[in-house]
Amino acid sequence: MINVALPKGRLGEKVLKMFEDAGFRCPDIHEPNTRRLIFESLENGVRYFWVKPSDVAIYVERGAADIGIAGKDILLEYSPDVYELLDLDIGKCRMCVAAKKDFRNIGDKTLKVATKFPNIAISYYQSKSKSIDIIKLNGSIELAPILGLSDVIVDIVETGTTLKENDLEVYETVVPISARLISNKASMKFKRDEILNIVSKIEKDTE
Amino acid sequence: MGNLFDENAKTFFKAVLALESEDECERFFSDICTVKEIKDISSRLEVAILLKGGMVYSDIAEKTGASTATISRVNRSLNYGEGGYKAIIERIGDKKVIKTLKNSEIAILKLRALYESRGYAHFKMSKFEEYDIYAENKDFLSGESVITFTDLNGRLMALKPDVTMSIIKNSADGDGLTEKLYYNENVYRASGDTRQLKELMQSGLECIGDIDIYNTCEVIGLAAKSLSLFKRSYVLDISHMGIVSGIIDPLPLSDTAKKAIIKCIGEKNSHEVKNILNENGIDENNCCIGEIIKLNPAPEKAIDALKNMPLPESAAPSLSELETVVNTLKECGLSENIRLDFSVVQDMSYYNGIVFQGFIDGVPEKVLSGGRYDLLMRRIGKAKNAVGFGVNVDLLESILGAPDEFDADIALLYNDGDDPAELIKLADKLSADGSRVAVIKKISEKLKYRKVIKFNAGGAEKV
Repeated sequence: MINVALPKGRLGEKVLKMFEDAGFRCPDIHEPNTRRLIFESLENGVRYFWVKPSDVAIYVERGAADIGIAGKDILLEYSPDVYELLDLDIGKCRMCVAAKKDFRNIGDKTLKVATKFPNIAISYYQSKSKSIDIIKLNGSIELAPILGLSDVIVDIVETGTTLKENDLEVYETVVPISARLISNKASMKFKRDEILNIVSKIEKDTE
Repeated sequence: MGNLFDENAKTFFKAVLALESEDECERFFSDICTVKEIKDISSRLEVAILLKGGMVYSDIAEKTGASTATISRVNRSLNYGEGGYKAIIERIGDKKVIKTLKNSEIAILKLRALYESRGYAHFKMSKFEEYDIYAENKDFLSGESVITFTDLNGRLMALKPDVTMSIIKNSADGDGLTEKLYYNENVYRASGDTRQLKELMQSGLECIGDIDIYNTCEVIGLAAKSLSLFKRSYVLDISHMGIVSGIIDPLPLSDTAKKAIIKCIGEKNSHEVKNILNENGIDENNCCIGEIIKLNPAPEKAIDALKNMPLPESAAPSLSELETVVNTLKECGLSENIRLDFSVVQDMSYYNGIVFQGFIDGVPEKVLSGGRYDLLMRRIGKAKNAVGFGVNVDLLESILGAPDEFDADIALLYNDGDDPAELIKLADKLSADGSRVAVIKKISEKLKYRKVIKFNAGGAEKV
């Protein structure tokens, strides 16, 4: 039995479809209005559960889930000790630096950066030897430059619509993001065949 | 002695050895013996225990009601017999001690016994050390920071975060010699993410000096045996830094890109490696990185696969060392749980040869890690080589069995004004069979006892 941590939300639905298309169906999970959290399919040897997308890596790292699907943004931010087995090529977006349209990057002052991803922002600016002041926010990042809280933001950009509506634009791309299939390291030792079976079937479908 | 007993007697002994619990013994012996037979036999054992404890004949006779003839017969068997009484009485005593040990303590004792069986000497060290040595080699502790404080002279000190470095620092450089040491020590670290201070129990061994292929195999074999002690399925992943660096070093890449590739190998992340190689215009099909990530970990298959890869010349000695190790372990019957897995990547500035990691089913992270760390020796200014490993004993807690559901076996309740001497005597008697006796006035609701006994002036009363 393989425990699979799925990220709640739109991405998770897509991922579940990939798993089901690859042969790991679980009829229970489609029951309407169910309040259950765990869905099991004995014949396919999988047990799915929905968790908050940013928690998937924790569930997998600590072994509560054998495998899971997490965005590369989460993996870069928390660097969990897991195997990253597959790029699912969905949930594609970019981690970007965005700023107001009239923003000019003046080199002689400390850059104020608002972000949900402090570790990514720090290592990005460290690689450019730029001194920054990190402002960690938990949501509505776009507000920060508009109100003068920060000079720029480091955030995920999918279509750019939210930025445009708030008169912001992408300034630099930090790293492209997509959903990754991750595995607990110990599970990979003791359930290797089962996990590789799932990985190879999904890999075949993505090609 | 063998002729004394016929086939029937031998069957009976086998039956005794097959008994698994006290309850089973009671049922078996009450079926097979008469009450008198049991009384006779058990009173002989009691006499033997008392004799061994140094009690004189007359006291024993009074206490047990046994005749002096019986006592002297038992005494003869005890002193001039086959050693049967002695062995069992000692074992009962040992069992009493063992019963009180926690599972994690037993785990440590088992590991100690294993390391001592190969002549490793115990290394005991101070909890505090000057910070300098750790400051210079911070990366060795992979992401976890050292807890520091100033001593009374204003020197910056560290709570020991690791044992290996202290052992190396104290090792003597001598020709052709190897020093073999083991340790079980608490180490102290601040974990990177939650900023919590942690105390961890680490057990492990180091082999320092002139390291040859025998020493390497011995250490890896002991690592495998350490994992097997816990009676669960386990896996020991082995990798060789010489092969990894042999593949990566010749590539026309920046140091940052090389580091990124090594990180990807550690994550079994072949898609990212592809991207890095493509960005730098290197043909991924030519450089074996994808192949070693997806290598079949069964040792012999892996060695065959590696031999068929176009590995650079510089990796050849490493491959042949790896092959020797795999073959040796196979001959010693240890290969079943060995895997070749290049995702075991330790820091290249410390480790250079074979590196390995151990997993036990039921523990979600690695419990053992180690390898050949000649480069760390150089950084500390030693000319010798070294190989060793450490086991994170705290992680084993989850698989070492459930803790006892009772806080003590017996609660002995007394009242104000009870005679303390009588209480102590009764507690001694109740604990003689190894029971844990808590002498208390009132039972706390939070604690659980197997049975409760009330102390009365006239004797004890079960409740």
